[in-house]
Amino acid sequence: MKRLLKIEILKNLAYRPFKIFSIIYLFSIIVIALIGFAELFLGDTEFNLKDLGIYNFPNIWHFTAYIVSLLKLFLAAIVVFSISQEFSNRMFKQNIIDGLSKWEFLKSKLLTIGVFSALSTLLVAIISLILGLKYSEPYTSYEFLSESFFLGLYFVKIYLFLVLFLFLTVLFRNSIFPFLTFFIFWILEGIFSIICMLLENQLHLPHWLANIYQYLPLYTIYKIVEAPFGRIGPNPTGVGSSVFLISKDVDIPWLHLVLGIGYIFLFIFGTYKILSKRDW
Amino acid sequence: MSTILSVENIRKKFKILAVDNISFEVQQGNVYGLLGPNGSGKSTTLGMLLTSINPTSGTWSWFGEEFTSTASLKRIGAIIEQPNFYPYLSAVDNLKIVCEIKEVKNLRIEEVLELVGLLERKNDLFRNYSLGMKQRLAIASALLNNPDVLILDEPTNGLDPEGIIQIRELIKTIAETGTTILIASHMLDEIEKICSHVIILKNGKSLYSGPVNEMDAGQQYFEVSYSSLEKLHAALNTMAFVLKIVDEKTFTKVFTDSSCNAGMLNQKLAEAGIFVSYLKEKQDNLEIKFLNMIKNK
Repeated sequence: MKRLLKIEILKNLAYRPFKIFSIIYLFSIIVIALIGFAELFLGDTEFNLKDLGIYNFPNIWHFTAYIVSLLKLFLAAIVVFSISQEFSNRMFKQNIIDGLSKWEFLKSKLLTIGVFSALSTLLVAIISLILGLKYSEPYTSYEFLSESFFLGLYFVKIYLFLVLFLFLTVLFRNSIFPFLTFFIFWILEGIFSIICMLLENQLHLPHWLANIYQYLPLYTIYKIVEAPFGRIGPNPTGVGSSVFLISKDVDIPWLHLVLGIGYIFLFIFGTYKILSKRDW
Repeated sequence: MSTILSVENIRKKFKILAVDNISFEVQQGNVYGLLGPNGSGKSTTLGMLLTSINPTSGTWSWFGEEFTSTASLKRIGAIIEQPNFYPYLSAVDNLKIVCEIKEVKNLRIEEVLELVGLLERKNDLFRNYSLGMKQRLAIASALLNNPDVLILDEPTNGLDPEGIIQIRELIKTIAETGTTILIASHMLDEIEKICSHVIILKNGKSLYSGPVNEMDAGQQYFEVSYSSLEKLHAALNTMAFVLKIVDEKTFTKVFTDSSCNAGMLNQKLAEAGIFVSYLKEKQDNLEIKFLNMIKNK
């Protein structure tokens, strides 16, 4: 494992797209974190993010994880560019001939993706802690950590997303088609979900069948850390300083988590099949 | 002497049958030429033996172990078709990656770069190298693990004459150290100078596999020059041992049966009053033998 990581470090650290997208990704995260701070000082009159209560423990874990996950396409770009060049420079073939097994090649990429996902999760944790410790309303020690499971969900979400792009990159062996396919799939899944919903009313389909779109890969990725905005509602009691109340009713999405892990294995299996069956 | 590679009936079908039942053996210490015109299946054969192409059927073993394990690959040094390296990395960094893959220490990097004459340019990016330098770096890379066998696929492809000479000298130097070499090429004069054995392929089939000197003996002939072609032909036509006469630009090729030698031909011509200005005994070289073999079968 150490050997594979060392190979990956030698391959990637001097690779320009790797450096560029890493910087863009970090920069974007910092900008988002700064917006979090700036808003507090600007919006002093009617409405600011603090009034929404999103900086409060425990729900800050959820909000940060979701917002930062919106930037995951930059991470995907790092994966797509650094892996597609292995094929365009015919280095996969050369690596194989030099004595790296196809499985070791795949493992080295899965390790890299794991490192990216872990670092990204660490960033989410750091941002959540900084914003939360500074701006959260009083919290109990239980509240402080009760939603930190979103870090784990976030890791799985990012890993699944990157493994999907690993699969697409190995399938197409270039840097354009993975993104194109992803966006086409995104649109198709959207259309499919609308059709499902329309048909449910028209044909009185059973619920599980009408919801089948929820188990497609991209929707699964979305569901693992879902948008938290639905949790924000008005504060009917008027108790506390917030005008809004954030629902405490949040659960680990077990079904989608298990499904997501299933998809991870499926994409890894598919990638391995392509690597071993194709002639290079 | 031990068997390094033994190949039995390998086949590969793409849309066409690219390799059709090829078998051969590679013994330690010999230099093998894998010969054949473009598209005869040389690279496909090597690709299968190096695991980048999946065989349709057949079997082989490296160092007595069936098929190609990563352990076997780490005992092989191979360059295929064209030099492949990360273009955005320096020669040294590229070789470091190869060392990691082959699980050998970095100690030999300077040594192999020195051998191929790239030590001065070791920190230049690969993309800034000329084709000749790239090819030499590929050979350096293949030598990093002190391989038991070196595989070279068209090592002089696309090089200028100077580059070809450099690579040829390099291969000779390596061959002299006793390294087993399998070299695929259509540059027959290259092969002739260094190979002890050849495997000849055509349309995916193996036409010959064995020592160079046991190939069908080439036809014997003499190159002769004389001022009058007419008189020369007239004289030669009277001699029983002459089989065929072919006029070339500056000389005439005289094919004879094996009873004839240069002295005898010279004497007979002199007796006929013909004193030649040039006479040389010739044997078909590898190129002619190879072309004949490909044409006939």
